[in-house]
Amino acid sequence: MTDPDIQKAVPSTDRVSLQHESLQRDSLGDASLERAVSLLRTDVPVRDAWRNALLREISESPPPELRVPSNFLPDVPGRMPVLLRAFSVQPIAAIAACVLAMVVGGVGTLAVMRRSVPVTPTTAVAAAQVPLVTAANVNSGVGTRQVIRFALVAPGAAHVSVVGDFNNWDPNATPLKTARDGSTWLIDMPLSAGRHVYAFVVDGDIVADPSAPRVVDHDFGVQNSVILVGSL
Amino acid sequence: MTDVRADDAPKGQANQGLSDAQLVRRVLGGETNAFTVLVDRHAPACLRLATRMLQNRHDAEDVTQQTLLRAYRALARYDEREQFRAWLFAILLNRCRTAAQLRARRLQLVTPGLDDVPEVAVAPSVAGAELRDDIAKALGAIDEPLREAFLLKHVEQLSYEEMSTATGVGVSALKMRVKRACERLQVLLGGVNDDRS
Repeated sequence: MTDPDIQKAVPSTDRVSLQHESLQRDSLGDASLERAVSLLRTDVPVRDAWRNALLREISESPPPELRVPSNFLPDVPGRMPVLLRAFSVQPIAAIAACVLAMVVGGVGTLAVMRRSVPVTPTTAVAAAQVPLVTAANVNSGVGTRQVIRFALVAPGAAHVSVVGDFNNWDPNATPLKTARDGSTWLIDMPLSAGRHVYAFVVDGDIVADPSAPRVVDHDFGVQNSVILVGSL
Repeated sequence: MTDVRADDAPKGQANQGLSDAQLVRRVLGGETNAFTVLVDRHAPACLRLATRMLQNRHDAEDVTQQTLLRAYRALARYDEREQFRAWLFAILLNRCRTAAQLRARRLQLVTPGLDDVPEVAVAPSVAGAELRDDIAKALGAIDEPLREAFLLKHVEQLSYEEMSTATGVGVSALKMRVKRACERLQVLLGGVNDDRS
């Protein structure tokens, strides 16, 4: 197991020791560590059932985003490749285009200024990208439990679940389902009265609820959200 | 609905000899079953790394599944200048971190102070069982960034450049992490051996 990057860092004056150190590095310098690496490199068997389930899930997923990179040429036999055309513009035409753009831009700017309309800066963050999360009380339950609706707008997400102290932080326990709009994920679940700490898991990422009070989990450094159920 | 099937035999065999980048192009060109070859090529390494990182086979299968699904959906964002394996590992390591955070919360809630032997899933022979447990404990005892760097370098045998792609950490810092991980593991494993002798 050579490591040329580390060898390069060794000063040339240490050439005599380099070979010795290199040999040590090949063996990790420690028999038990060498043995450990050897064992850790053994394959973990891929279960057929797991592989088949994975391939099935992929087949049921939407196809990859077809955002074609600029240099993309499909490598599929029988298909016409994308032709990348180069444009050339005469210098005089380019100058004329620049002048035209400046004139149009200047006139447009003057027109806007004359109208004296206050320009309200709009946020560049699309609502669709911001998880609008709501843990809302949809109805009162019997006794000390209430049905709470968890909602998250997460367009493009493939899997959303809610995790919290009420489901043992298990990302597989409480999956949300998409609403009719296709981008809102919902679930109603009964919760006992009291304070609950929770978060959403969107395609494997933990997402706190921006519309709910957050608490920082000091043990793990991730923000979670808090919901109070019922009267305390 | 796309068509990614395990038993698309003729096309699958034709795709076996293609590079990762060529397969990605085919998938993006509409031949989605080419992704099966990428799954078969990289799932074992993903599963192994996740198992070593999380020390739990079930969690490892979950995060590997999430990783490959996410990679499939985001395939157009893959930059051919990077190694596909390093790109996959970047996704996988993020999933591992999330899984570890959630599991830590579960353990904290259910069994604080739990000290069971983690499942590292190496060579399941009886003779190696004790060593396996020692390795698992030693790996679990070092900090996650060190464990990550050690596994990528010495188990998955990535170059430092690939490791940098996978972790987003600079090469110098990674070299330091690998060095510290080796030193720490040597002490931990050596200590175990010394105790027994």
